[in-house]
Amino acid sequence: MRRVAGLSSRQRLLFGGAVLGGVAIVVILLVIVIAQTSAADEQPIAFNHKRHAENGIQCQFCHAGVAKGPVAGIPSVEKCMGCHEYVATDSPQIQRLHGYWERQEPIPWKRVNEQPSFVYFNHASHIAAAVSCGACHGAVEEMTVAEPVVNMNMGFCLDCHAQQENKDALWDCAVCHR
Amino acid sequence: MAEEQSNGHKWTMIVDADKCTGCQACVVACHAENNVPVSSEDEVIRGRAMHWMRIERYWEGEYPNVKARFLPVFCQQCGNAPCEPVCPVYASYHSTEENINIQVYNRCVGTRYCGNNCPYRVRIFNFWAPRFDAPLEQQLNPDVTVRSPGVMEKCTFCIQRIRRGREQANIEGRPLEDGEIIPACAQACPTDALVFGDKWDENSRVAQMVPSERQFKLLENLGTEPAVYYLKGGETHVGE
Amino acid sequence: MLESRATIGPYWDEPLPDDEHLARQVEHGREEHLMLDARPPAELNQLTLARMRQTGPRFWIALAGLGALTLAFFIAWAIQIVSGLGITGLNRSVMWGPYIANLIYFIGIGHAGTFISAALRLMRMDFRRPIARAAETITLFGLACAALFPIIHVGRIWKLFYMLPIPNQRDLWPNFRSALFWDMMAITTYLIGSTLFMYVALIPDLAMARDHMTGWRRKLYSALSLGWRGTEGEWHRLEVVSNLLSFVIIPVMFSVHTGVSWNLSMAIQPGWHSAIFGPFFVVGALYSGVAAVILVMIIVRKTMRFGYFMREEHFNAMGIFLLILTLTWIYFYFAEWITNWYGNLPLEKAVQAMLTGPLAPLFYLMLFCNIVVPLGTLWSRRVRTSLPAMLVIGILIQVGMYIERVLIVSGSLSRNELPFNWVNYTPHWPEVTVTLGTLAFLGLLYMVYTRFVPIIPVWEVYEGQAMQGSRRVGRAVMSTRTEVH
Repeated sequence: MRRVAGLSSRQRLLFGGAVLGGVAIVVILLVIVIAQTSAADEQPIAFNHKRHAENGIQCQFCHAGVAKGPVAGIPSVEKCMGCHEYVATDSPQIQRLHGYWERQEPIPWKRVNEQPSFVYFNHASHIAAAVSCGACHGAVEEMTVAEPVVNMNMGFCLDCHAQQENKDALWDCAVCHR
Repeated sequence: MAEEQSNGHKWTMIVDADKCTGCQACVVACHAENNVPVSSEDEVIRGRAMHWMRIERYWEGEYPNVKARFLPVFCQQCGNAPCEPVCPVYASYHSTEENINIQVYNRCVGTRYCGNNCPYRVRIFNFWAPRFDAPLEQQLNPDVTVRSPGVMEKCTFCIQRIRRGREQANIEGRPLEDGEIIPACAQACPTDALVFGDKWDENSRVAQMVPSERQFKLLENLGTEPAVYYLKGGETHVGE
Repeated sequence: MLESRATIGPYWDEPLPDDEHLARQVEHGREEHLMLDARPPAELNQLTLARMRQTGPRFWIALAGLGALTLAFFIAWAIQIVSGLGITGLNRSVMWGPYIANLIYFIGIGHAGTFISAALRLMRMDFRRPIARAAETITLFGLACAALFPIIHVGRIWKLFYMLPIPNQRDLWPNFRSALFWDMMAITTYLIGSTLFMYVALIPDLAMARDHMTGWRRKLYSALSLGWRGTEGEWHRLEVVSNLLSFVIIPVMFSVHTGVSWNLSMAIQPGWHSAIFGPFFVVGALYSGVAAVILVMIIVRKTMRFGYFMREEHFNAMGIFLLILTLTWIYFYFAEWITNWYGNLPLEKAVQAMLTGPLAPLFYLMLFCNIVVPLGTLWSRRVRTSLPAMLVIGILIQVGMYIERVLIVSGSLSRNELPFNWVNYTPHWPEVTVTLGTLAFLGLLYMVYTRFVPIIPVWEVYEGQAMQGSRRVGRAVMSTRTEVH
């Protein structure tokens, strides 16, 4: 404190300004980081992954494309209605589902995991290589609403690719970028 | 640089210039498959036509004995590519797995050095943001990046089809078959002038066509070791 | 001939010898040589500092003009970033245009500064003393402007950091095989090196300015002069560091323009792929650089009235230097041209046919500016010491060397292996604006700098004068030099 007290009023003003500016920058950065990481988008229907997993439904039952091609797929309204025409029909969330079904509309789900447009990921290749869903998506069966758990950036992908037997083949840029 | 056979594939294209009629179906197919924007007339006049594949037309002889020569030119996927060492960020690099030349669009900073060093001038620069006039934007290929302005792009031998074919064969646990992977241009060619395959697969069509007597490589004297082979008979030509 | 050399009256007059003949000799020696026309240090200080603080209406008009052009440059650059490189005239074959030519040109004009300063220092050439800093400054700002051009040139400026070797989790590094990467390293090294070189020599003058100024300037110079007091030890260390840096900076200087030329000659483009390009470009850079230094000397002398410091001997010496470089450059250009011509390779011939065909006006203008004019005039001492003549020659050489770079970069690119891709190139407004704007930016930086920093290295001049004297030997008066090192 002695040093600060020794400063002239103008210097103190400058010093204070610098500190305030620094704090402001940190706060703004924090806000940006929090806004980026939290799943701010609310889904149209509060789909509960945990409840479905507890009832013994496998991931692939709904995300049927996962072993066949690049995209795992979101189930159609028809698929949901296959059970929910009879199951838990009195729940308000299921009534919303019925609403979409009656209006013949697809459910506008919000995307949870997204890659940039220049990254191509093939689910089927990873399933064939016996990578579990949880390796990238986390314990979805414990989640009520699915949320991204890992930052799926290039470093994350390469960490895993580097450990594989055919490491060299998996290190090629064209594996993901085309 | 001697060619060494490794575990990957040596993707190769055969262009039979005797069969080429210059119909440009391959060019259109390439635009559709690879999300290549269509340049405006002004841009073409300014020398910026965006084609990954082009039919170079040369006239031979004097009127009335004029012969038209067609030469489909696209990235030659050189084994000893001049574009690769000059890129300061490795955006242009050699895939040891596919043995072709790959351009990583998201790595490219747009120095355009590779374009200068390509003797075939097949590397295309995105001078503008890509524009697709309606209804073309409805048919963009989701398997191919739409390139941002300021990056280089070029023929990839339809790497998205190669990768998809390999991944599918891998999933099904079987080896790739010859003819399973066909780039858009070869698929569209009505005269079968373009043949694509793995040269290291001895039974493939390309492996059997490469030793042809009619075979030559474009600008072979530069030692770029292209993976595109042209076939041309001595006396046959279009226009007779 | 030069006009009045000093505006401040003589401080003390050494009595002239009685012999009329000898008196004339002494007077002539003084008129000719700055080193013999000694003034007390206080007067040199005052002369330099007074000019530094003078800003007349002409200064502000020039500043506003250059500022407006600089603004136009930054606006053009911003428009180019937003809308893409499509607004330039570049095309699929001519992918490198005036931006790269500008990179070469601006590094070129920045080349001679350090050379004059470092090489002539090592060779103990006294004529460098008053002009060293003016020359170094043009190196500094020329390089800074040149370093802008790779940034202006690239398609995705926001991804430029990919070129820097930053450790990252993706194991991605820049390509160390790329000539562009070497070039970037060489330019950065040279920029840091020449800044340091200039700064070290600037410290005593900054301390001098500190001792004569008040207010914010005093604070600024106190901070910049690093507490220089002028003790024997400090002078000794300055001497050692200056000599060391002079030795170190010369190879770096060669590496820079060699690196730039390798950007071109490492490519297999006809017209570029030539082993001579390294030394050829270094000589070309020195050529345009020395011409630029002469231009700066004329402008600084005229506008800041430094007639006392920059005299006939300096313009004469620089003129001779320029003549030597003219001959060297012609030799290289001839060697490059005749090997391609004699080799008769179709593509090299196509490039030469391009230069003498569609680009013939530019090509012959270049030959006129670079060969005919300097070679025809610089022989004469009258021309070398005439400011208007040197101004014209200097500007012509700038024009000629700029055209030469554009012809090499864009002219060669418009011809390539497959004739289907032959295309001509015309610059559009962004290239023109950016090029002119950068020149203005260089001038602006220089102008502002001359008002903040003593542009004459007073201590070096004084040091030189202290070591010189005139001595009578028989019937003649000779100048003598005392070696104190």
